[in-house]
Amino acid sequence: MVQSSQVNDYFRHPRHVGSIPADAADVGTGRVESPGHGDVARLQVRVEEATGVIQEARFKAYGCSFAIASASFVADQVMGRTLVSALTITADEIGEKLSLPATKQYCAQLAYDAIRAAIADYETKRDAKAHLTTEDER
Amino acid sequence: MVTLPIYMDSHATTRLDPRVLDAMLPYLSEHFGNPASRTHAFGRKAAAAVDAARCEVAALIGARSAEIVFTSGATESNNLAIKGIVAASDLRPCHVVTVITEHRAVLDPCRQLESNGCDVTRLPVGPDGLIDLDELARAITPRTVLVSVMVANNEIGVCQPIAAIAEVAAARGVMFHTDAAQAVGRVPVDVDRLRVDLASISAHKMHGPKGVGALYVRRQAQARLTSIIDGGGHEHGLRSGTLNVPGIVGFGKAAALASAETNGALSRIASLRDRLWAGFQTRLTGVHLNGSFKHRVPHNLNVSFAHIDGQALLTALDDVAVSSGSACASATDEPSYVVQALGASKQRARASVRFGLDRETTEAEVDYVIDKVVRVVTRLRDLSPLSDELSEVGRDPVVEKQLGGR
Repeated sequence: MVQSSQVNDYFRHPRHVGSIPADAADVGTGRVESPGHGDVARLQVRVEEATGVIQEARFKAYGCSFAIASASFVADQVMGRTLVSALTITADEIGEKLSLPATKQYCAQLAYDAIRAAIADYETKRDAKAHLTTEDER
Repeated sequence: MVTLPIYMDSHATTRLDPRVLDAMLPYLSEHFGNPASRTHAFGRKAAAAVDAARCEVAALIGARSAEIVFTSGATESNNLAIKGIVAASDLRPCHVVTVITEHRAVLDPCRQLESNGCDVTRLPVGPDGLIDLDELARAITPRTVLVSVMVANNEIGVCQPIAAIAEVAAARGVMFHTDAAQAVGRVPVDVDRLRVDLASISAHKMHGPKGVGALYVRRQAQARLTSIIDGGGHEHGLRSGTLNVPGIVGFGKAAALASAETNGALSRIASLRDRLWAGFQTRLTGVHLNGSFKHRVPHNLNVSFAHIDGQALLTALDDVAVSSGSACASATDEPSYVVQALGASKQRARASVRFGLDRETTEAEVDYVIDKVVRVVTRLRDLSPLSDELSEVGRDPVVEKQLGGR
């Protein structure tokens, strides 16, 4: 299958590969799997609570070159953005930016799901912490 | 010193030997006659060349030249054998026995027959890729007209016990066909010793040209075979159409070269293949051989590299030509049905990579491929969350089992 120069670049020179401690309070971890295909993407974001800005992003991915490129691309995209802004990224946009063939659109969906899962994980932690703080103050 | 890119995909095709090309060239230019035109010199020249090629191909497999039917390749040969035997039989509904790991060029004609009311049994294989002979014997019914089992598998290189299978079929009076495309010209194949009735052969798998092959049809079997392409009665009425003279001449030359050179190259190719496998085993963890090591053609190695996808590996191996059972590397949505038939998970099937050596493969090429594969696998594993998860929580027993010995 022919891959675009963007996919080729992100696959051969992936940005932001790696892991950050998932149990840190300011880190959100999303691990998602592509139903039916089995590709896996893990995206981690470190968020500054006061501003809601993603200061660090790390990814790992298992799957074809398109899946790896998509995960690397979103790690690159969410860096420096606010959570609200990161959540506006759509699967279609990922597919377009990487010129994914129609049969590889599921890779864009996987990367999109990873963003949402990572942010949801961070927000759950943040809200639990806020809840605890409120409890303490009582 | 190696010349890049390196070709290690000999199950797909092989390089046309320059000596084969030299033999073919005159038949693409001055010797253009139609071998059916035996009334003039042009036709007779072509006919003589076809006759000589037929003798060479027959000699390669221990057949008589009258038993060779030239076709457009092994796919057509498989179609002729399978559909032709069923068409010639009076039994209805008739029954064909084959194996789930056969090439599509056998499975698809069988499926076609099935849709026309024929019954088909597809035998399973064990983790080693071999069929169970007792299961084969039990599968044969009074309505069985054909057993079709390949000599060597095109993905995993596993060699079925052809002589024993032929014996089971013969004891029940059932015709036996074998798709020998991956074996003939690469390893010794003798149709009399194996007692096969029909065998499909391809020229381009043995450094010959594409678009030409043959079906060996044992003399006694010819009356039990009906043509599927009609129009002039060429090839004993079994395959009509003007003969592909340059292709057949090239096929003959390739067969002659294989007869002369195959046996000498066998142990060298096997030792290069073993070197490749040893290189992966010593330098990487999580490498799994797919199929039996012992019952395997010497030029094949099929390995799954845990935690990575075959397509990603192939893409990163830009200067090494190999192939993968990953769904993303093929036209289908399913990872290799052959590797899955061994009882492997989808993940192991999509991680499978096929290395195909040939008589031109050098030791320097093998060493380059080992280095390159080790580097790429290591890099992709660094990217893979699966390798991480295993090191964090200890080894996953399920994966361990997948990766374990055969």
